[in-house]
Amino acid sequence: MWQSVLALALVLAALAWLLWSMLLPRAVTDRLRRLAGRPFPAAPTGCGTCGGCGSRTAGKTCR
Amino acid sequence: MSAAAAALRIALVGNPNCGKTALFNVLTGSRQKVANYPGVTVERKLGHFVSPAGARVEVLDLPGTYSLRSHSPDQAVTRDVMLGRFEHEAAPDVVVCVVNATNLRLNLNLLLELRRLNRPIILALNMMDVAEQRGCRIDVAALAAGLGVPVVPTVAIRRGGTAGLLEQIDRLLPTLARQPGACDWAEPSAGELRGFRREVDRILADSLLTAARPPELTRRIDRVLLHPLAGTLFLLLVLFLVFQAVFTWAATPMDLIDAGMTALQEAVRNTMPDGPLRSLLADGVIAGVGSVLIFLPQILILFLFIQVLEASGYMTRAAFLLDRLMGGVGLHGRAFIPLLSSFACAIPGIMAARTIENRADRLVTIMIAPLMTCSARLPVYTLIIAAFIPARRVAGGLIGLQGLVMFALYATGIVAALAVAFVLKRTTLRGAREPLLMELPPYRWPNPRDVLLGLVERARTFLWRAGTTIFAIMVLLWFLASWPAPPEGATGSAIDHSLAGMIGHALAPLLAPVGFNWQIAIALVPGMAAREVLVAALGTVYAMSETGEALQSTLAGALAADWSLPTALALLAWFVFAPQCVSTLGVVRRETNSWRWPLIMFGYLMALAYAAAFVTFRVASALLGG
Repeated sequence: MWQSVLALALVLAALAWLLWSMLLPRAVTDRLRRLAGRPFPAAPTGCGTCGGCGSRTAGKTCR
Repeated sequence: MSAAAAALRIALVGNPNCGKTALFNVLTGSRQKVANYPGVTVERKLGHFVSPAGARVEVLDLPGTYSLRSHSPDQAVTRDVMLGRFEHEAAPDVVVCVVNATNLRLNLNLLLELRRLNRPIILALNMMDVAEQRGCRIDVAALAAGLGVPVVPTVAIRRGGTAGLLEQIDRLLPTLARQPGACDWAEPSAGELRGFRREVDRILADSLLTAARPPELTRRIDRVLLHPLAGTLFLLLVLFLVFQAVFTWAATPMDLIDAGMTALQEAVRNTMPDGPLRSLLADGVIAGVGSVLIFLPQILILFLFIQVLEASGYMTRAAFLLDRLMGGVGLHGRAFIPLLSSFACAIPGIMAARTIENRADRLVTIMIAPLMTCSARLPVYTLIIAAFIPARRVAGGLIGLQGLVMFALYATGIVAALAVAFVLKRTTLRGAREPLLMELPPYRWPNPRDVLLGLVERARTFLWRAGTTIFAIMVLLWFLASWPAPPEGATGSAIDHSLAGMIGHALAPLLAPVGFNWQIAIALVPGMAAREVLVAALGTVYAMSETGEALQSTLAGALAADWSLPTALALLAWFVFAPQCVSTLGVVRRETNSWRWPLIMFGYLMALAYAAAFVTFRVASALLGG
């Protein structure tokens, strides 16, 4: 039973991560962030969420 | 007013490849990419530091340019920031004009143009160490008097090499309260540009005591490396050696990681009671993420070579050698650097296309960038090659067969890109070809620290992606592959009855003509997120499909037992073309400001992938037997 609960929690966390970081449009995540009263980041620098170039700023905001 | 708003803002401006980003990194402690070729920085970068006097300083690193009148998208960023036209951003308080001290005659033209902005300017005489080695002697005081701006020698790659610049910034601070004069800049005419050159000559006549000797060693090396025949053979040899090394050097660390993952999987299976969490960890996470982690040594070896070649200055020679070939299909000479960057990842490559002024040429470069073999394809290629291509040597034991196949796959991507460019330039994106004008930098020994930092950064990015995106996708894939549970008395593996199994079986008829089975169909769906996810997905799908002794075998072993050789070759052909990376499509949308081009890209790459896989499967089946 405990294994099922933990596995389900991991699955839900993974789903939430993918929704937040990859699937939901930026407008939606910005609105959710605003509703939660979180700081509102500016537009990201060039690489979006890829990070394939190895840049430290990939997927992060510039300022 | 906030602290950030009160900070002094300085902008680093200069010709391409004069060391602006190296200076930015040493001032701010950043680790932005530096390389010994022009066009590495294509957008503005922002960093901060505190000066020795305690002033908080914001630093802007801007793309290199020869004049503010340049019109390519990257150089337009520099012009707009300097003129205060950049959206939501005031013009910088101080301009640090970075010049290559070995080539003042060319570099100082920009400074004369910048003086018309009527903003405080500091001239940073960068690469002073190289200039001194080559016998260059500059009267710094006379140069400052001639130009009418403070001049400070800098060596961006040496500890303490920016002390003079920091002192000068502090010295300027008290004078900055005054309002700057009105900006007098207007696009200079040809006559004004000639006037700049005359003024530079006049100033240098008084301040350049001894000009730098031409880089003799570079000239001698270039006599061989730029020779049409010898140089091209050397370039092919370099590329060939890289792919041989990727296979041979990485074998031992890959075996060690593989053994570690297998041991971890066994430990989980042996210590945890049977249940969903044990299956999730062993079959989902470790089998999936582990099958991607194995490829870290190969990716690092590939990037070691790329970084050394970039830092040495060889890459611009490669651009020069390939210009004739690229020009033959209508590609702009400047397309070489974006296409080269695409071997790491198509995204920086597509962004680097901003250095191309002509829109049609830029679009052609963007459209073919995903055909360059990015590092995310490496795990897919390596997995299939290791499973199906014997590790033997050919040509009298000189050449490893697996490395040769990898080389052929990279070459196929390049040939396909040239063919697509040829078609585009003669159909939808016509235009006259412009010549390539590029400074050939002197050869330099790569800085081991920069190379090491670059590799650490690469490893960190790879591990971060494996630990976040790939981990999350594998957890979800495990859920889809385990739920719903098989009905009472069902035969076969559980995945057959799961949601993932249903999706795979539904897609299988579409992919059957190209020889793909339902397991590949399942793996291709999450593989849309990033190409290497396919490997992880195959690891999870096969871990959950196998039973008994087969469960103990490696992923490569499982594939070798389950797929025919034509299927493996068809999947390799598919991945030469397949547009399986949503991030790339997103960046194309942003760079072209339209959905039209990413949709065209997705459509044409998918059609080519299907056609290539179909032909490969059919021909291989006919020759080898399915």
